Amino acid sequence: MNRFKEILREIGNFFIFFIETLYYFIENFKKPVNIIENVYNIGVKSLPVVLSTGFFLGLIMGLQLSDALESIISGTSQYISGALSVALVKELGPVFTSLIVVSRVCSSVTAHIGTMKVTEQIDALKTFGINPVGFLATPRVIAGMISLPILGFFSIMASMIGAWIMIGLIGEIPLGVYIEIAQIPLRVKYIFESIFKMIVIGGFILEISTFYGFEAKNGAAGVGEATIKSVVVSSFMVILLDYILGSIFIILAGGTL
Amino acid sequence: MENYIIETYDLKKTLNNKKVLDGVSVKIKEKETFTIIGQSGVGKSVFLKHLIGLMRPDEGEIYIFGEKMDFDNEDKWNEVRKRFGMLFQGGALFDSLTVGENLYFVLENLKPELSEREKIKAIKRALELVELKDTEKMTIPSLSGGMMKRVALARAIVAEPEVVLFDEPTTGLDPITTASINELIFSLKNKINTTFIVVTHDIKSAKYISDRIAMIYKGKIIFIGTPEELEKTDNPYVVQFVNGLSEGPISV
Repeated sequence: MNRFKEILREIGNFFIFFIETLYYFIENFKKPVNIIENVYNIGVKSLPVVLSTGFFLGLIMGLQLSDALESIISGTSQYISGALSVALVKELGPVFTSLIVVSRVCSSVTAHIGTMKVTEQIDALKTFGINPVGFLATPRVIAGMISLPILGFFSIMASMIGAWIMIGLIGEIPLGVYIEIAQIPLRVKYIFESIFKMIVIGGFILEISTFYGFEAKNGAAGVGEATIKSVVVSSFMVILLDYILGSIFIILAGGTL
Repeated sequence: MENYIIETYDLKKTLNNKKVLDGVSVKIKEKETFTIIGQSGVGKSVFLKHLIGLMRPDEGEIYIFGEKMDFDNEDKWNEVRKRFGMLFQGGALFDSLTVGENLYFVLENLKPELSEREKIKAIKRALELVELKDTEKMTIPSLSGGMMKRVALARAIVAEPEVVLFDEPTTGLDPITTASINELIFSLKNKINTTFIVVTHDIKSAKYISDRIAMIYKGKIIFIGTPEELEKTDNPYVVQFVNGLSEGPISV
């Protein structure tokens, strides 16, 4: 029962926190230094890991899928590029990139803000007349919303290149054919949906990680606990939001894909 | 009539089902050094945090500069905070910034009207006051415990506040550094002549720097008086605390 109460309290606090971060959006855009700094930390620094994991995801998908397709009907491995492009743009790219960002960024953001909280640096900010949420959380949330779609784009591209290297090696498919087939099932709508999804998820996972940073208490152990919660809840929310947004897009399209 | 800078009436606060403050009423005069003593964990720091709006009381009222403070009005608190400086227990320095940047950050937010040159001058002056000349470029993790306290003190006074709050200024320091920080607080008082409110459990420091001392026990003020009165009192709680006895009415 106590645990249940605790969860309700946390959700309530998160809601207040969420509104508070939104309240400071405009103010932060007026002085974008903070946002740029966070885009660098969240976005630019994540690029190597997003590119390399995306590339290897492409390699393995190319290997496994072309093999599977080849075993059903030989000489059809080039068609997987169409399936891959749709799967990557609609689901795999956004979810995969988000999970990488969760593991790299959310943990560090929570630990950073949590440490500031337990060492009274957040209180110190308040005594200088600064709202800590507007100063620490909002720019990170905005940076997440800006960074994730761009990271997602690079990840998807890296996967497509990885898959082509595999298929090209095994099935000797020319690049022109590969690109052409990749475009057939792809629609512009999917790309917009994907970007929208990544903006929402990017903002949300940073909302969660900054929130748990502010919730941290009781010293180093408290920061550790907050970081665990942040990573677990963010990962879960990535999947949940992907599901919710995916369903909404289908409903908006009138139940058809 | 005396000019009170801070008045609190019947402050009550419960944290984790424990009554931390149970009706604290004090009046603090302008330009005095007011010290609050008591055991660890009796709510001294909590009381201090109420004075600068970092915590809100469950009951009771706070008047600052003669005005009643409203805990829902953050703007009004920010106006008050511009006239306050606070030294935090652990320093609470921003470790991603250098010493100079830490001080600059305060001025940027509390005194944005100052020109660049004036800001640098104020930083130099504050660091000189705490006897740490030319340390602007040092990083926070490279400082020793005593230096950290000094930098934190410099940060608390750099914007020339009217009231400075000290949360355990000498906790965790060796006796010699403690003495030098006490000396520093004392000399600083003479130089900048503002109101100091100090929270400590170090009775020696308290006697040395204070004009008036209050003792908190179980969330209540049980003694207020000058250091001389503290010596002479026969209040058994105060006697036990001042002399550091394990036997007496205060149980651990």
